[in-house]
Amino acid sequence: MNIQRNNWLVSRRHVLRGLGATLALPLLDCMRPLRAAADGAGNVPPTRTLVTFTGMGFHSKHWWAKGEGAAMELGPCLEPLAPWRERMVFLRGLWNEQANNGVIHCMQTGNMLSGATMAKNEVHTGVSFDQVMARHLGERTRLPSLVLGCEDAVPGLQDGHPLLYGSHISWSSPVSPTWTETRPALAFDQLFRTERNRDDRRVVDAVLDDAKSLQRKLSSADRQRFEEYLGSVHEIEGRIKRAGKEREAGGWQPTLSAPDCPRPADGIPADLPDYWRLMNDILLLAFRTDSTRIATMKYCNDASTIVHAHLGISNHHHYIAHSQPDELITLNQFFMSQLAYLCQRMSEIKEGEGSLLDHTSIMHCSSMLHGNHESKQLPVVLLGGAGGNLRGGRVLDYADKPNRRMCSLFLSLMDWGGLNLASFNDSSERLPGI
Amino acid sequence: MIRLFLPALFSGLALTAASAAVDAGDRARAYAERIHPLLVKTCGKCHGKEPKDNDLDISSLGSAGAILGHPKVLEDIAERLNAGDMPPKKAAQPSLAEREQLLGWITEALESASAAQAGDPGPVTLRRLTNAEYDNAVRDLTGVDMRPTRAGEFAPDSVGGEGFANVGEAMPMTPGLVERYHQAARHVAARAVLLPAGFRFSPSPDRPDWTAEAEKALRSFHSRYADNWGRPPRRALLMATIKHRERLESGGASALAAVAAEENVNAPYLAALWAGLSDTRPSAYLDPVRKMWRTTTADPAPLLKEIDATMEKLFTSRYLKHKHSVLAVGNGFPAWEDAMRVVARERVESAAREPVFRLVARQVAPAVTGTFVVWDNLRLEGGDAPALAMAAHPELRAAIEAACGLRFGRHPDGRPVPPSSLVTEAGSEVRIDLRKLPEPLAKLLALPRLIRADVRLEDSSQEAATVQALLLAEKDFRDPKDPGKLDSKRTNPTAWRSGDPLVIDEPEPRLAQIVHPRVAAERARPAAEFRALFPPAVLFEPIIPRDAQGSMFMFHREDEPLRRLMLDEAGRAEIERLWSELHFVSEDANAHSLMYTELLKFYANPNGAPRMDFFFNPVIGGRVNREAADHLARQAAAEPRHLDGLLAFAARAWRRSLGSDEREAILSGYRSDRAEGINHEPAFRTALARVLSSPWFLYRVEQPSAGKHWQPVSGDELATRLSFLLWDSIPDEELRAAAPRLHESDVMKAQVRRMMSDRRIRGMAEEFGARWLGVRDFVANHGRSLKDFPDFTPALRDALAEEPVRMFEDLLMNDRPVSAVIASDAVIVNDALAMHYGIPGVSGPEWRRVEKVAAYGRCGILGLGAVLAKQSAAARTSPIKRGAWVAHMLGDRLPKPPANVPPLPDAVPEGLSVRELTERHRNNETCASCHDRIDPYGLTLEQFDAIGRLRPANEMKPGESRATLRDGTDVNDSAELRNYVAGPRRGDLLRTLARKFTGYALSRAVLPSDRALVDEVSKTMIAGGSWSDVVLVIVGSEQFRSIRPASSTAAVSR
Repeated sequence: MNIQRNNWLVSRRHVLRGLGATLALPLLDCMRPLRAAADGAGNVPPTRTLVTFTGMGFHSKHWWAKGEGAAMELGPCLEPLAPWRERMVFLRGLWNEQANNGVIHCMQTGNMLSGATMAKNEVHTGVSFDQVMARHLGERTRLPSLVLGCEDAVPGLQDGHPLLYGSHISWSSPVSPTWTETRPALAFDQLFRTERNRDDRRVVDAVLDDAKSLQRKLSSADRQRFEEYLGSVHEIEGRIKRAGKEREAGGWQPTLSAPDCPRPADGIPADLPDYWRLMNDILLLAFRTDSTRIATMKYCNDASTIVHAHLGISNHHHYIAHSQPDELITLNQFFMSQLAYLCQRMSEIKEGEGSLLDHTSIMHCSSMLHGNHESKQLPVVLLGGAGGNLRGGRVLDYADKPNRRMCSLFLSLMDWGGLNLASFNDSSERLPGI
Repeated sequence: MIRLFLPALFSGLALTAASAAVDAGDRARAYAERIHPLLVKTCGKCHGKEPKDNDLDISSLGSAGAILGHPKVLEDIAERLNAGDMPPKKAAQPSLAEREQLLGWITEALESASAAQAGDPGPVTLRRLTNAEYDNAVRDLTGVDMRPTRAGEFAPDSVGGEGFANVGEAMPMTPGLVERYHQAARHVAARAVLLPAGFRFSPSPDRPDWTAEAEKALRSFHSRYADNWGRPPRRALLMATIKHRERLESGGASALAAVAAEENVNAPYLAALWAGLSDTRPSAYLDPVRKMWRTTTADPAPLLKEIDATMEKLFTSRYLKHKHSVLAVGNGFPAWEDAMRVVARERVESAAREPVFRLVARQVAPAVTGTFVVWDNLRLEGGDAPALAMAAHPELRAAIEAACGLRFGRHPDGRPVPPSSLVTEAGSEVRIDLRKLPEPLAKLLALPRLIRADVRLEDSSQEAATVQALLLAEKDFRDPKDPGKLDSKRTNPTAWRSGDPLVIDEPEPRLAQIVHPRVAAERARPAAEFRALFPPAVLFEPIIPRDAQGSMFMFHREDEPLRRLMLDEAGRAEIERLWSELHFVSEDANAHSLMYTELLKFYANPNGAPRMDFFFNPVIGGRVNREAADHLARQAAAEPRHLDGLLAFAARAWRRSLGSDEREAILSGYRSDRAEGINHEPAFRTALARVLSSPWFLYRVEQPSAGKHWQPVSGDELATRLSFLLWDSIPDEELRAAAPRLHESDVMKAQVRRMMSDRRIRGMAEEFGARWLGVRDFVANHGRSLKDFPDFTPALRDALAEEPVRMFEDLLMNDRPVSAVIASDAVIVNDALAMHYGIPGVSGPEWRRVEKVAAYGRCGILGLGAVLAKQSAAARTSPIKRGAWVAHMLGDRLPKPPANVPPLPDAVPEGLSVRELTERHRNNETCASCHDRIDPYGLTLEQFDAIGRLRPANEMKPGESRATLRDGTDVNDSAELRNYVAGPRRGDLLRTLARKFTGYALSRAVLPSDRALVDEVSKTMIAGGSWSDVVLVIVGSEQFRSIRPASSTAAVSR
């Protein structure tokens, strides 16, 4: 992968190529020199990247937005985001082409954030863009990325297709979904467990030695596979090292140096809204303490069977996604209220001359537009200022555009977060007009 | 269904030989000339260059080599042609001859290709342990089922290959997971309990719990010998001697052993009792018992009463009479002491509270004149200071002599005696008042000191004389608040006031009877003989001396009678081990040492409390320090044993023997920690965690074959494959021992049979059985709407989930025929499930096999409640899901469901049955083409509701469970479906099962080259073979026994 590190968010080469296809688009905004230094150097807060996900799309009739700025009108599903419409970009018509091979649910979801192909009968797809960012930029913080979930993964096969695809949008390697932490206490530990001790180091050192001698025994194919393990142990080794690392003095400093709340209790809170709120808070805590700048939150799986009884709904999510009763609107609103909460909290956290919200790009997405497996156009909203790169209050329709690839959007999101790639899976262009 | 052709397609062995005869060149020519054009003609319209989006382009596969590179495509074509699915009905159909020609060629080509690769172990991806394997391995390594993956909230296992969890491709490895593995290893290591000779594991990470476990083991040992007062079963033992008197009189040792076994009494004690009771030499205390015993023929109660009475006389107890008042016991005093002791010499003592004391020598009647008592070495002991001999202290000596008129080293009659002795006449009281001593000297005679003397009779005394001596400090027997009243705590045994008789009729039982040294042994003998045979208890049962006021020692051991009378050598070794483990694990010696130091500080200022004596008793102090030192020494001695144990543990965990460099690597981490000043125990735990964090434990590693061809795996690797196949866990000691010869078929056979009858076969029942049935995750993912099914309680849910596992355990452990999965007329149920199923006569939560249950609709796998419930919608039944499940089990080929299928509503609309609802969509022709293959199976199961209950007949509409299957068979209900599956479709079911099982056993998807093996497994099943027959076919196969080379050049095709 060709990483261009220069002072421009988008390489000149790309701008020129983009201009060839879509001359009239207001691309200039992302051509300006790096204003908010994405890496947090100097005294400018860094840009954080947050992806949120809910499964099975939204109500087919009530997910829409039109108009601009304060006059933007929102469909009922989006109602909780009304206060944030001027920070929001509503995107229509984007797709991951590879998610349209006829197999529903899991094979529509596994490549959500990569646009890569998905193997049948075995787990093999692409590294998701959040993890590409983590790999390249993760060194900046104690944790390369934080990947959270509010529903456990579903293992198994559905007609030979790994269900694992349906419960993981973040992938560290083509064969490994990123560990998606669903336990609040363990997520908290990931961020703040710094008392890495002697035996952690001793064990990791010894295990690496064992791994080296083991690797010599393996066939070439297995050796490749074993890399996955070695990489994981090295990652832990890095975490242990970083855990002891003090934050460098000078430059931008996060608003919090240590968590301002106690470690949550073990297990999962019985009340679902409490649970999701707690996970949101942990996510915010990660950004506020600058423990990581890249986060992914999977509120629920694709084909989720959660029964949202807290909303008075008696059938599970998957079921009502199909039958689309009015309850589905209530549920969709509940999803959007999570984002509204994040925006609210982020806007209250002052950083530099703006707020955390100004320095974050939030992308919410789902793997289908509505419950009947429509993945030819995906529901996407962007929120936040992306470090001055994203102007809200807009509705963009790509349905009939030649470039309507999610990967193009990912390239833009990566640019904003500080990683400039020439191409990403099925796209080598930024999303025009964003 | 068209099943005219190719009975041989799936039963290939016969054909393999024939096909080998056909020259490959001929076959290639035939393909190019006839077969490929025919394929293009038959399929090319849809599977050609056009349309672009089709998934197969036949025209591009122009040579035999090209198409043989895609055996799966060939298999598909054959299956489709065979089943009449393709070409579609509307398209032009090939003639019968053309069809035959195509299928003939394909079969031959596949057979020949598969035969060329037959036995290929295939690509088995490197994989980590599944959660279940990890938990099972930890259970078998530690003996504790602690399930660390559950405690560590691991993500559930995912499945691959033929649908099982043991497939490498399905198992990602992530930093999060690696970290959980390291945590899990620490979780296990924290539960290691170090012992003097090794280590064990506990469910708990806390030392008090480990101590409780060690104590429990000791208690359970005790309970084999004594009741909960520590008493042996005296009555049973006596009865045995009475009942079998004649046999024992004539039979000797062998008769004793036989009687002990017959009466289930302790053999050594029986022998001792028999010897003691039948002895004819006189023994004053035993003789009355013997006499009574000789005449007792039935009820031993009077005999026991006699024994008890004598026992009462000859023992005093600190414990038996008041079980909870064992203060003294807890502070190092014995629980029982001998009463009526007869001695030649006795140490007497009193706490020094005031500089006034008396030497009292009472005579036991009849009084013998001329009896003198020697008080030797009158001294002060205890406290922090060394002993002080009064005779050697000039001022004290002078003061004492002045106070009592006696002289050290002088008999009252003026004869010289040893210089340390005072001599008094028996039957006298000598008061020594030292209150006039100057202050510093008087202070010597105060707490915490004890005044002591050794008392004996003077040599010239009469042999008939008996004396009881008391050394009394003034306050010892006066209540300080009321001098006229005796101190209640001191009423026994030393209560004596001036003026009390100096000659007494009966000896005070708790005070020693001091007699002339010449006769002491003989006069002590009768009581000793009785005591030896009839101790009041053989052990101190409480182990922990409970006491409200505080006990110095955590444990009290008193079991000399047990060891002497009841234990053989092995028993003595065992009780020593149990005690040493209790001490080692509880680290009581360290606690005592700490507590003793603290108590010494606390009592540094005398406060008059009588119990302080114990703590200042130098005997206790000495014991405490000695035991603490011993404990340290034992710990040091145990360290190398722990490390040896760790290396053995690592070999078991890693499933192979360790190289010397690996042993060194494990130890070097430990040594570095020690060198950094870390204690043995934490360093050991880190080393243990390191063994369990190692990829050697976490991954199933096998050495690839060295050559170009696949080769047999090593014995250790084969043993590991076998144990993971059958137990879903690591090999045990026996299998490891057999590993070097496991490639020999009789050794393998013996191990398979042994392992299949072991309870650990549950591993296969869960991971193969329950997964094959699709209900392994039933507890978490049952999909039932709890609102609609209030009866679906957690207990029922768990029982439903457990049934399939129990069913497989029954099939495997009892080695039933494989076909019993469908043909069996039995269920394995507990009470909750039996009630759910309406099967009467089952009570109690234990699982059992109940036969003749067809009437309740329970017939093999089709009657499993978990399956019926899982294959239902949340709130209603689903003939579609159930039908698809049956089709899946039978291996019926189902096309991919099209996208955008509208679902059926979860709730059934008013007035419709589920059947009618389901039938609606079959009116749609597009739907019907597939659902005709699926729904009929499911409809026949409509007798069962969505939680697997039989619906009452009156709730069923007539014909609600009737269906016509796609092959034209009419089926009325589940029983008939069972007959259909167990009858005409038995082969299909078993062939599908054979394929699944082969995939499970090989930890991968089944390959074309496995065809012969799958055929053999199928044949074995179809011929009525049992599970062990099938397992033996698999484990005998080349696939199971060998491994591909490192850089595989063997043709691999999927």
